[in-house]
Amino acid sequence: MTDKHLEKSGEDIETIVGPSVKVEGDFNSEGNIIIQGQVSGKIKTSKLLRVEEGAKVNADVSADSAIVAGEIRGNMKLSDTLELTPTARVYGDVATKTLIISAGAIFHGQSLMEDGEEKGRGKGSKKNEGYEAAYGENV
Amino acid sequence: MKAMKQPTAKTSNMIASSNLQAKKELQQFLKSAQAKRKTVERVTIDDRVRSAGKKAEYVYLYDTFLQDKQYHGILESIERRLHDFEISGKIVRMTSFTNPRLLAEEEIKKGAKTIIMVGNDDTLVRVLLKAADLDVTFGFLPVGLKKNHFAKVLGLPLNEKACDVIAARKIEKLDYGVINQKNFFLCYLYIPEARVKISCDDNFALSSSKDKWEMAIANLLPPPFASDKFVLHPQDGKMELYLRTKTGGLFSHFVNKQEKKPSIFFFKKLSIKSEKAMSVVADGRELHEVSLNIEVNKAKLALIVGKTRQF
Repeated sequence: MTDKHLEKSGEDIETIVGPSVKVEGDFNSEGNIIIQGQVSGKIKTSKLLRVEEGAKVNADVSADSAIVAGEIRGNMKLSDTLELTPTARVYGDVATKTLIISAGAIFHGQSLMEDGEEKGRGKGSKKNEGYEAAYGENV
Repeated sequence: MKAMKQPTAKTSNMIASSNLQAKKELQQFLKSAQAKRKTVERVTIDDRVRSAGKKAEYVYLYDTFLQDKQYHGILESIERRLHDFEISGKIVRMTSFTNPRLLAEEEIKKGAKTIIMVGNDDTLVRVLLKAADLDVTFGFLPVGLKKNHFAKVLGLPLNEKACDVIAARKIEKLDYGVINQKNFFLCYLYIPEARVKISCDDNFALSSSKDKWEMAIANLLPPPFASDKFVLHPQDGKMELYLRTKTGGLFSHFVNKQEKKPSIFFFKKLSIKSEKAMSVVADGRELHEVSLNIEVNKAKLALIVGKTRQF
């Protein structure tokens, strides 16, 4: 999934937060975001978010997809996929369509996963019906 | 045959008075003729300028260095080529004291629709640094082989071959940056070393865990420390801020390779504040400022570009 995502977004504009950089506030981007440093506040992108090993994020996250190898403290809402690599540490609730957790990753929080079949239902369906509540803790 | 009458005293007085009147009339006629000639001359000169303006609507600003003999041949070729394309116009030779903005404003008032900068990178910067916001189409004729990096970016061949691009008149609207509401930059802004506080789009702030940053803002030219795989976006209404930890001396060997890679942020509005005056290079011009407020003016600069432009 990772390679596919990177290929798909290879030509997109990328915002890069380097290892020695701290970002505070509402961090919005129309392209991919790569975080190697520290971010606190809010992160929002319509594309891919990559939190690399050593990076620290203390923020609520909204993105299309995310690949996490660093630490995130905050709730995450992804339209497509969340992938936690072996070095990932996530403390917060997660809402996503697809969740991939590698062995060794730490995840403290609640996960809400969208069900593809439920999404196709008519107007009568409630907002939360499309999500399947699940709790996951993988230490 | 009747004998001719001898003029009486009365008639001679009448003749004398009519002569005086004739003289007066003649003087008046000469005066009015002279005045008319002056007006005719004035009208002719005005018309000549006006018709040139109306016909070509092109004004060519020659940079000071083109007075050197080595460029005379190139300029002749350029002028011939422009004449062939019927886009020749008024030529203004700038001196080192010329204010390009005042000059451009005056020519626009006279009817100029296109201002062509003739020279090198310095010429383009010199004119656009002051006049980028004027409502006119700009063009660039790069002369000589040195200091012509912008020509490549804009897809312009050098010397007389660039006339073909000017004649084709493909106009692109480009973003440019405004520094502290007074200076413009089109290509790049570079801060070699500074300890600063940065605010992007009034949304988020940037700070560093290290001491100093080296920074660059790119629009038409890549930053000096991250030129590989650089894609230009001079029409998206945003500019890229590149920053990396400033390393120097013996300690540079101990800095992590990852830290040498630049961080990249996109912005429309940027505020950079320093405790001391920092050295800032905007399109090759050096400024010294304590704080910089930079705004992107989206697609405001109309510039004639070639097919091989790099954006």
